Formats: sequence, structure tokens, C-alpha cells
Amino acid sequence: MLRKLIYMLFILSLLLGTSLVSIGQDSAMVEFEITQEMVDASPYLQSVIPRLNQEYDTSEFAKDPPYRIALAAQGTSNAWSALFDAHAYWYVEHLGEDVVSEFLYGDAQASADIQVPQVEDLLAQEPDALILVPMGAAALSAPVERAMMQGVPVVLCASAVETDNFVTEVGTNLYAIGATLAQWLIDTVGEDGDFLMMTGIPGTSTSDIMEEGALAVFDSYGIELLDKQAGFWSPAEGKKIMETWLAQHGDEIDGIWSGGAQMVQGMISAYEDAEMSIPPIAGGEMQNGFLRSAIEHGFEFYAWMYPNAMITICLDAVIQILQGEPIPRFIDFVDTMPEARPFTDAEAEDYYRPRWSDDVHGPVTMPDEKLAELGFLVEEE
Amino acid sequence: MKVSTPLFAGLTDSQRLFLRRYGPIFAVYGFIVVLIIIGATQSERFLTVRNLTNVARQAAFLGIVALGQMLVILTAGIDLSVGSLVKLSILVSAIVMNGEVGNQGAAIAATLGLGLLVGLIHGFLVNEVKIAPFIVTLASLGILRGVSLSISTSPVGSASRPFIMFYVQKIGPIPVIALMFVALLILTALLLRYTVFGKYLYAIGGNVEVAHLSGVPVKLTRYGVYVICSISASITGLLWLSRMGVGDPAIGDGIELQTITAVIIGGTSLFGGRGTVVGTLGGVLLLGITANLLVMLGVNQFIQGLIQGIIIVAAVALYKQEGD
Repeated sequence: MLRKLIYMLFILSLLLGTSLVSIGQDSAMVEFEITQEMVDASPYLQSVIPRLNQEYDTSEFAKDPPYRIALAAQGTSNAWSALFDAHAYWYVEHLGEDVVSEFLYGDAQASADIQVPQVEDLLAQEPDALILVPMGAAALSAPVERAMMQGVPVVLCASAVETDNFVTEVGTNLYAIGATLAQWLIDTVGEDGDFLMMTGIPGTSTSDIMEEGALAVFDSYGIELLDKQAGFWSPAEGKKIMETWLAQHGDEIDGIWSGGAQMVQGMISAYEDAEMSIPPIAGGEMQNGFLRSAIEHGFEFYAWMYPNAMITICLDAVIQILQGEPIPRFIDFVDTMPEARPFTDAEAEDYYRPRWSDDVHGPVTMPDEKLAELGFLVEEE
Repeated sequence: MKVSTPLFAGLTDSQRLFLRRYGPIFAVYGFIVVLIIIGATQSERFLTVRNLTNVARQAAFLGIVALGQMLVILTAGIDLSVGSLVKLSILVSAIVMNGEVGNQGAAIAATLGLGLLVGLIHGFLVNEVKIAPFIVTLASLGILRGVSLSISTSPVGSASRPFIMFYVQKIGPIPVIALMFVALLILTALLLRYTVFGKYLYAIGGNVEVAHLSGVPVKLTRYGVYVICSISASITGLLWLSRMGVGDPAIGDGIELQTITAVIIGGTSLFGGRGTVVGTLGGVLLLGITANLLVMLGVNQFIQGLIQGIIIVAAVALYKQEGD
């Protein structure tokens, strides 16, 4: 609710020209200014901000349970999405067959090419609702519109599309997250610092929007980056790029902005090989491998959360829609999962879970027995 | 010495010949029937009009390029660039159309013109510079992909509203796009069976030297097949634009392998000289129905890849039996 209040203040202050946004609590508190120019330049902000105050009248979709729900997911292409799917199956089981009678699943292997026909296959089965994790904001826009035209309500989960014709989106303000990471780096290092930037997969809205927010803040300080590369959310790619950066810039590097913790793991490994001290890094997450390395190496970082457990919120949203209850057009997962807030190295020990395997992204809402069944728990020493 | 395998034991020579020639294609269609039976028994929605028309429309996307690919492979060539050309065609058509109905004609002409140009370049390099088709089109795969991503790494342009609606248009219950594919199937079958050009393709694929000495215009025929193949990729690019409404450079990767897979499953020899439209249709339908069925059954994509791999090996084993 605190986040909602901040956004409402933000919208109000936009009317006055500029807005001061505060994200995080305690040690992770960061403030930055979103100007009207930033909003004007960002179709994402223009889409999200009005939806924060809108509700969708879902009475046209109301029907009696049990429901047939389709999930067009990223697929088991990495640990984040594997746990996303595991949460989905676990939660459907938890809801019971009298609520969800059939759960249709499409695995896009992180490819828009595969996902577009897959959504058509899912819609051909006439589900009551579709949850979509879009693998391309533009590529999936027309399929989303066609689903709505067919009378199937669409809930976007964890990523966005370019059309506005869907029921609701579950996620968080990625622009603000990207901007916050950049602001923390500037606050920590200073405006004169030399910074590097590593983004996720170009073309995915999650990566592109975070990058947009970060660049807007760097630009507002007139900061020119040493370099910007795409690390594809891969530790291997992150390490490869970092090795090149270390050879090229070495001690000049004052701070690094990263679009994901997996890439930071690669960066840490490159610094370890080069036997150099790690500068402040903005872009950690509650990912156990990252936290273990960060605690071992003791560098300054700022972390945010993008919980794969948000699929449970997406499923709840679908049930709400099919019960005909009005629903907000943008659902920030932080409102439902207050523990999914940003944190810094000062709290690293609090978030590290010794029993989780390195690839677990938190927070996790499944019981430990389920995690153990899936091989995500390690034996205690 | 004639060797009778257990498979053909007890059959007359003409029966053996018939089975050797068409048996594998029957096997592919037999497998399709098995898949349909599995689908019908496992999901009450598999045999619905909505799902069947969906499968037919999706088959057109792979099938149109697969037909072009089959013609190239019949001449003992290959075109590895079709996926990148689909990608570039989506971008060019979206940029030229730019959401305006008035630009539709120009966008279609520019996209088909692009296909024509790429096909002519492939033909030139294969015929005049004597570079192997594999190398020419492998280089082209990289170049066309590079050009596409130089234009934009994020979505650009847009389709006009009527162009987007074309994707869902139907005549009766059948999508127009599926009917388009059927028309192209018939045209290609007629081309191969009743025209001199069709005979030339088999002759060049069978033995290019003999074909040349027999007066077959090898170069001209090769220009023809590479142009047809590239134009088929451009048409598919236009269909993707209709499907998505924007020019997204994320689309197109891997289409070349899917088309080659469909053509091989359909019985076209990678060494040229042998292959049929009915077989290629079988390959396209087998891949399309498998993908649809596995989504319906909630099977992981990695398993889909595994199953496709098994199908390829099984198909090649069947055709090998034919060749023995």
C-alpha cells in the first residue's frame, strides 16, 4: 500500500511538472526525480501511470468455477523460469480442482517465434483465461488483441506488450527500478564516477524498460558511460564481457549497473580471476548464488527483486476476473509481497538462505518440501 | 544381385517398386493419422473446427517456405538464408507500410522485390562465381540477419488495419492463409509434373553434368529456383507482419532448419533429384500437428525437440530402406 501511495503522490506531482520518487526502505532508500520530459519520452511510463488508477470491469468474463486456465510461459530456459513454472503448478494444485479443472501450458523456450503460434494453439482450446509472459512486447501484441477479441481475458505476467487491450498486468515499475539502480550508483560513487552498464536480453520489455529508466537518470546528470553491453542474463556472457572491460578499463571502473544478478555472478568471477577489488554494483537480486558470492567478497551492492512467485498473484488475478470482480489494471507485486523490496549489502545475510541452491531466486512461496522435490534444496552441512 | 529385405518379402516386383517409392510417404501420413487419433482421444478440443483451422493456418507459415526450399533441394542445392530473409521481409514490409492502407501495395511490391533480388544474387553466386549453394546461403544467412539488426533491434513500422485483419479472414470455416497455401501446393505440383521447368529440376538434381550435356539450361533453372525460394520467404515475411502487426526483428531465426526438416521428412533427397509436393506437405503437417498436439498435452518444448529429432531419424531410416 505504501508503494501505491507513493505512486499516487507521484501522479499528483507530475501535474506540477516533476516528481520525486522514493524507492526502498532503511538502508536501501533511494530518491530520484522523474521529470515530465522523462514521461514524455517513455511510452512505458505513459502506459503504466494512467493504469495505476484504473480498474477493469470484468463482469463480461464472469462464470462459475471450475476454470480452464492457459499459461503461455517463458518455459524452462533458466532457473528463474523453471521456478516460475514450479510455482504455477504448485499453486494450481493448491487451489484445487474445484477452482481450476484444467491447466493448459505453453513453453516458449524464451522465444517470440515459438510463443506466437503457441498462443494460437492455446486459444484454439478455448480456455476461460490466458496468462501470458510475453517474450516480445511487439510480437505478442496482436495475439493478445486476438485473444481479447475471442472473449478470453488476458493477464500479462512479469512482462509487457505494446497494446493496451488486455485486462491487467502483474509486475512492477521497471522504469523506476532501472532508474533507482542508476541513482544509487551515483549516490554511492559520485557524479564524477566512471560507470559501465550491462543489460539483459535486448528486445524484451523487462530489459529494455529498465535500461530506459537507468539511461534517463545517467543522462540527467550528464554522465557518459564508459561502455554498455548486453549480457543476456547469463553468468557466462557477463564474465566474458567483464573480462574485456577489465582489460580495457581496469582500475578506471568506479561502478557497474547490471540488469540482473546472474550477470553479476559472472562479473564477480572475472574480478576474482583478475585479483582486483570489486567496485559498487547496482543490480543484484535475491538470488542465492549472487548473495553467497557477494557475502564472500564483501563489496557494496544494491539489489532489487523480481520474484518468480509472482505467478501466484497472476493466477489469483485470473480467478478474480472469472468471478467478475473489478480488478486494477496494474498490480504491483510489492503490494502483495511486501518482502519483495530492494535491499543493500548491509542486509545480504538476512536474505541469504544456506539451504537453497545457488540458482534459486527469492522470495519463494512454495513449501520447502516442494523445493526439495524439485532439487532446489541442498543438504545442510 | 537383388536382395529381398524382410519388409518386402513375398511381394511381386511391381509391388516392391511401388512400396519403395511411396511406402515412406504412406508411413509419414500413417504417422499423422496416429497423431490425430492420439489427439482426438486425449483432448476433446483437438478435432474442433477452431483447432483444425488453427493448425491449417500455422502449416501455411512453414509450408510456403518449405515448398521453395524443396525446389532448391531438388536441384541438389540448399537455401540456409530463408529465416533471415523472412526477418528482413517483416521489417521492410512494416517500414514501407507504416500503418497506412495506401502503402500496402508498395510494401508488398518492395518485399517481393527484395525476395527477387536476393534470389537473383544467390543464383548469380552459384552459377557464375561457382560457389557451393551451402556456402552462398550460409553467408547470406549472416548478411541478411546483420542487415535486419542494423535496421533495428527493436520493433519498427506497422501493418495497416486491413492487413492485420487479413490474418483472421476466412472463406467459410477455412482461413484464407490456409487456402493460399493450398493454391501454392497445387501450383507447385503442377509445375513439377506438367512443365519442362519441373523436369529440369529433377534432371539437374539427378546429375548436373548429364543434364547440361542433354541441353538442360542449368543456369537459368537454378536462377529460377533460388528466386522462387526467396520469394516464398518474402511472402512468409508478409504473413508474419499480418500475424503480429509490427516489424519485429525477433522473428525468423531457425526457420531454415524447420523447412529443411519438413522437406527431408517428406522424402526429398538432400542430394537432389527426388521429392514430391505430397511428401513435403506430409512433412509440414507432421511437424505442425506434433507441435499443436504437444502444446495441447502440455508437453515441454525440449521434449518436442526430442520427438522431432526422432521423427527425422525415423524418416531418413525409411528412405534409406527405399534406397537399398
